[in-house]
Amino acid sequence: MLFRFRDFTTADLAFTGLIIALMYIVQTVTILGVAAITPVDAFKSIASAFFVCIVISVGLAKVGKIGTFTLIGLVNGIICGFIMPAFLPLLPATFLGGLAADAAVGLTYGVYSSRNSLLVGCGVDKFIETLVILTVPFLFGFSSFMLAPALIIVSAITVSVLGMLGALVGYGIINELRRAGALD
Amino acid sequence: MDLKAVFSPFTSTPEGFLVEVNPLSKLTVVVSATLLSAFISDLTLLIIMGVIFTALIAHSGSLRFAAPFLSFIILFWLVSLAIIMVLSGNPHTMGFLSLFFARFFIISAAGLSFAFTTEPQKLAESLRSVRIPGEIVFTLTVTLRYIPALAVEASSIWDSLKLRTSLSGSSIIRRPSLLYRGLIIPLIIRTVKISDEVAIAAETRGFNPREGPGGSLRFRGRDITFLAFFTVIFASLVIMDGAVV
Amino acid sequence: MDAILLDGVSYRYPNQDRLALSDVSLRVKRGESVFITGRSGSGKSTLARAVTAVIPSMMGGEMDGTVRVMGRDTDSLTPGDLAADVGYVFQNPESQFFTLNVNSEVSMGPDALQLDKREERVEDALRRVGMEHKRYESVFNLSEGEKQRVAIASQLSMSPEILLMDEPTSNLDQGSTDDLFSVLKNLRDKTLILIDHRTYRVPEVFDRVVVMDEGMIVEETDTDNLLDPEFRERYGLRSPSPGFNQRSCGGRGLRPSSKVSTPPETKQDPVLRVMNISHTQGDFRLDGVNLDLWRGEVLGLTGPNGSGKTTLARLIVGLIKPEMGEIRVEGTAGLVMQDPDHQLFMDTVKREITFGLDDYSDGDVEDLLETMKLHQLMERHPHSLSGGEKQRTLISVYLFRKPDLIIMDEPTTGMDLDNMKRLAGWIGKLKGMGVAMILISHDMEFLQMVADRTIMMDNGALVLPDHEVAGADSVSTCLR
Repeated sequence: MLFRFRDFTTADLAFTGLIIALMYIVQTVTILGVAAITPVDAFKSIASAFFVCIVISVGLAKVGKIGTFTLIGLVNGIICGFIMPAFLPLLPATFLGGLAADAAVGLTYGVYSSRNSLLVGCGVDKFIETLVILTVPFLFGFSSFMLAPALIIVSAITVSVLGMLGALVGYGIINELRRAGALD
Repeated sequence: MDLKAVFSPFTSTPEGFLVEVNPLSKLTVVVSATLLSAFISDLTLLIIMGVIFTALIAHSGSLRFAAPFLSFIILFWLVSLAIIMVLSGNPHTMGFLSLFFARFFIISAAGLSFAFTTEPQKLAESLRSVRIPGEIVFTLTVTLRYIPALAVEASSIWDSLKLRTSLSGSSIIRRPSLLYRGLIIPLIIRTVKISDEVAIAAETRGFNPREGPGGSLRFRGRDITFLAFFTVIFASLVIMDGAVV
Repeated sequence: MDAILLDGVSYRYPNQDRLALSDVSLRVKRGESVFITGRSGSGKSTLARAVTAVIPSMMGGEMDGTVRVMGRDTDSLTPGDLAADVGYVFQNPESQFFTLNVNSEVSMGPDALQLDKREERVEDALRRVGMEHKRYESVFNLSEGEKQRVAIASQLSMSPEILLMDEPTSNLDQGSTDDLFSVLKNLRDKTLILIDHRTYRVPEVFDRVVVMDEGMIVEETDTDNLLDPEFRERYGLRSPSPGFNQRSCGGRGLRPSSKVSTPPETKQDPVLRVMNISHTQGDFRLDGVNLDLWRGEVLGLTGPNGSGKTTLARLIVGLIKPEMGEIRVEGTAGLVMQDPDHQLFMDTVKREITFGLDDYSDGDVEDLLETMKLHQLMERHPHSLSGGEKQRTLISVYLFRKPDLIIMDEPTTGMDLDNMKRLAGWIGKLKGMGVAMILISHDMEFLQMVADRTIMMDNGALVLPDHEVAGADSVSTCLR
């Protein structure tokens, strides 16, 4: 089995919960902030992917365990799907993104610790998440049309790259957090 | 930016008939509405569905908070229609996009009617009652509890940043490096420090995510009424859609 | 069976050379009420963590000696194993809440431990803290004092024998502290342990005081000794007397000290003029506030939580605009907020000083760091500093900008006497440089030390007119 939730301590779960809360705040502030500058939705998603992955990478580095991303995806998905903005298709998107990230990192690095493990995790998560959110509406018949596959792939890659850049920045913060006495 | 209004679903104390309905019943209706909307192909029926869920939100007294979200969808719908009309000059495109946005509206309205009539804590309890792992429920509980708390922290840090840099909020937003240094990093540091206290608090309260009791929510007459009502509504819409087709 | 027994306990945190606890032996009998105090860094909170098994099980580190709680050796126990025996209340109730309403919060402990008669437990716990009327209230609608009482109720619902409270009054005003002590008086059937710098009202509830210093217990005696100024001076303890009773003195125009301040003889204009300002924020309204402040003057501003002090500060520095009236500041104003962590942005102290400035001289930065005794800390990360050092860094940040007015919001929260005196020294220096200051504080001991005059706010208005002068009679009737 790739991971077990039983391996997470109360401290791991508390920290992950807070990281998701922070992720949520950052996402909302970024989207509202970008909305104040431009009405283009794509920019909001891109900007939020960058800043959100800064936060996620810190969470992954502190907890370290495979399964963290799935937990983040599930809880974030429940909130986005049922509470705010209460848009159900976000739940499968975030969940599958997290699961894919854990699978990718679990099979390659085994733990979230090195810089590359964080990059891979965030990159895969954002790629799958974008892919799902752009195709689920069509697959479930909410829309009679779908964006061209090439456009979907390009969007997913763009958001994935921004996510990886965010993870890179997040990795840089970890050393600062150690100096600040916030991380061991 | 009024963060309290933005995060109102997390802090409001809802009232009314729907609040007492088991969250699982409401979830069933939301998911059913979402899936059903994919199959109904008549725009009028989709609009009726949207109106029903909007009425539910209004009944819970939360229309004021939900209005920005729903208005955005309608606005987006109208703007897209206008653009397509101008580009293609073909009035039949109205029908083409309308189905998509009608379904989009239903998903959002159904979701918001759930969000504004359900205390987040009851959501967590209902998940526990269907044997969702305690680790997920505990993490969700912590997240729900601290979204508003971290919003207050963010607001305070934001004020300090404005004072220190003598810049307005919009000027700061236009400088990503300042946003990163002045908001993201201090917030992350605060979050990490708070999490240590939260973990200690959970442990010293005997909280064990794996062994906690299951949810104690029950199905009552209210739930049966609620589910029966929507079963009739959805069945009627399906029949009418079949008749139309 | 003793409630708590520590025998030769020494403890070192991970990656630390210094012992946080050094050969500590302490015995607390069941039903006893013990007050543990001492300077910052003396090991008080570490002692609390040892009793609750937070160390070493959660935080790691090396521990020697024996800790027994209700007869059980905590060596192999976790905090969860002791939850039914020890209720642990921290300084900040926010980090102890997991739910969104009072009922769920207080029910959480009995649910977690699967205790019977949950409803009775919750009702009883809330009644004991005087919060039964707010059983279904959202936690977001509670005052700071109410939150702390709910935090205590959340522990009481598990019926622990021991109630251990670590600085529970830090964020509370005097009225809320009074309420909390009234609650504690009703809990004398429990074993009570209070850890704090503040000694206000302690002798009324607690029998024994334990003084710690550098990880060791240096004194164990009767709490009546807290009334002895020499005893307090020896161990750097705060006074148990507030010097000013806000509840009974409100509205009568009183000063906490016999010093009075009048506008200077020279004809200089005030550095701050607040003219009849009004502002509404939600249900709260600030109404008709007038205030003048001159260069080099230190004004104390006190009042219960929610009275509008912080709102007034935010109006003065321009974070919010008043609906009516006018505020004039001759020069620049700075605001040192209550929580230093919200005001530190950079990765070194040196860069923190210059953050937000484009034009400055490195020489000036070095001079300031020397003056404020921050030179040896200049490459440290600001968030790794102690509370007093963070405070000093923030004062330096604003000093570097050469402000004409500085407002400090609750600058002595969690501060021991030594740090408070140091802060008083810095304030004296700023005063000498002609900087006008407004000190928002519940800490009457501090305000007596530094303020030229003190005024009070309540319900959005100044209780004392700006030009009020207190007579000796009226002051003495409010002193305890």
